[in-house]
Amino acid sequence: MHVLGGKKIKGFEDVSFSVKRGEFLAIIGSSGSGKSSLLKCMYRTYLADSGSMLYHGDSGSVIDLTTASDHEILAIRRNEVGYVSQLLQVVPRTIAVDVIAEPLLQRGIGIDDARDAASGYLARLRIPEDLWDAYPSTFSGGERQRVNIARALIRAPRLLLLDEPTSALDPASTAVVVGMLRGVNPGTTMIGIFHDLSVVRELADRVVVMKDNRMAGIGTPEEIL
Amino acid sequence: MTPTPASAPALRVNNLTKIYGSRCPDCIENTGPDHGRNVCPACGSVVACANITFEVMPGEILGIVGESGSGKSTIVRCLHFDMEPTMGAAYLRCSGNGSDDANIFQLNSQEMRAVRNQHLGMVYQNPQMGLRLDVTAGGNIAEKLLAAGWRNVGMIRDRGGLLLKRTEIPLERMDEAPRNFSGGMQQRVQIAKALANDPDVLLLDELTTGLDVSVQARILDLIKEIRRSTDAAMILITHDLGVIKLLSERTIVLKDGRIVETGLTDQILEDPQHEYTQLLVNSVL
Repeated sequence: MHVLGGKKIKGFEDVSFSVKRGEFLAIIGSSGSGKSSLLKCMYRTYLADSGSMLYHGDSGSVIDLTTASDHEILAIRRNEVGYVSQLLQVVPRTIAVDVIAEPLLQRGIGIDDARDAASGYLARLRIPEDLWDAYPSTFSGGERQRVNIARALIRAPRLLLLDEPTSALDPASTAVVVGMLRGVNPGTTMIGIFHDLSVVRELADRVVVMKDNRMAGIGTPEEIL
Repeated sequence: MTPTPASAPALRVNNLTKIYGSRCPDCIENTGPDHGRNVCPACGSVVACANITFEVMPGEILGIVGESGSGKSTIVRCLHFDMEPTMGAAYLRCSGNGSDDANIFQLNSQEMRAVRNQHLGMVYQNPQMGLRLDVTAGGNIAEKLLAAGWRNVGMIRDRGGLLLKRTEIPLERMDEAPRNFSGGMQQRVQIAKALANDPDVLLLDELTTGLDVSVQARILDLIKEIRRSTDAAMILITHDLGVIKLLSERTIVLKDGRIVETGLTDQILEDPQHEYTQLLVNSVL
């Protein structure tokens, strides 16, 4: 289905690396070391000042995420690249199941099918069923974070960017999320920021270490940790 | 209807400029955000907007933000032929009428009316501008349908009922004049009227400004529903960044009649590039 692998990211403050298709790259480093900024540049929520980030798309095309047009970015956000923010950007007046179903509705999938799929994710993420039709603004941090992850996974993205997806989770919920991320389609490339090194050991193929807004190292978890 | 990503813009605007007054050759050069003014010091002309260039895709909501007097409304009023631009061009990709290549500002008045009646919808901040408040809600919609070429009274009535239902106006009030309605209801009748001709481009000028928060919320939800169920390109004018954040994926920031920044809405809000946008974003939080 996906033709090309290999994404190369090179850029600001001497950060250069490439990620192969299907690989899980973890980014670690202390707070303020530039991890989130790096990830947001990949999603174009932040604009990079210099450098390039080459994304090898579904159709075999290569686009530079730093210079692509807004419409090109919106198209790959809709179809290929997912982003899980640290905090759920709550969509007001929308119940949890619809928050998760929304990306499918955008693709033209019917409301019933989209809600079925969304409910499946809620169940797998162990969100209590009586919360499915509640507003996520009333949820705990950990519940919101799982809704956020479900909203990203339901798109079946080719590239998934994760900004501390387990930071608000207790050990049991963390294990559920780690299990789900491990179970994601092997063609999905993931780049994630983590503080919990045991999660990094479980998930990552390679690790980038950020320090003082520069890249301080890259290697396998065995080499780095 | 499935919103499909189409490659051709529904609307392209090139160098739209509106100047009030006698105009001199230096009006544009002497105004704008770098000068912090929109009045030309040489001749006193007001440059409401200048060199405005953008495009909107079918199914997309483009946000235009800026403070009062930044030229936001001027842009949509020119596009709706409510006022005549001084310079510039706009091209509408109308479904199959062959006028794609025509600069709509150069059409004759009859052609302009046809474009407006068949392809545009407009919602003004003030319902008085978009509605005849003493004509029934159903009559207001019928007026737009008649202009768009509808002739069968029964079909006009059915369509009116459908649109009012969609905008959550109780059907029993279809034959009542909007003057008796609350502000939020008047705005929903305006939206129903704007949707009547199934427009290719929907212009929304501060449509929730001045309404109670709970009323605003329902109107914004209605716009979201319209985005899901139609392929209309929408231009959303507002000074409220919360509205932009909720509805539009791309945003243009205006200052003193010029575009100072264009980008993805999350980028505009989280990593604003222009000094003015930074000020705007920081003023909210």
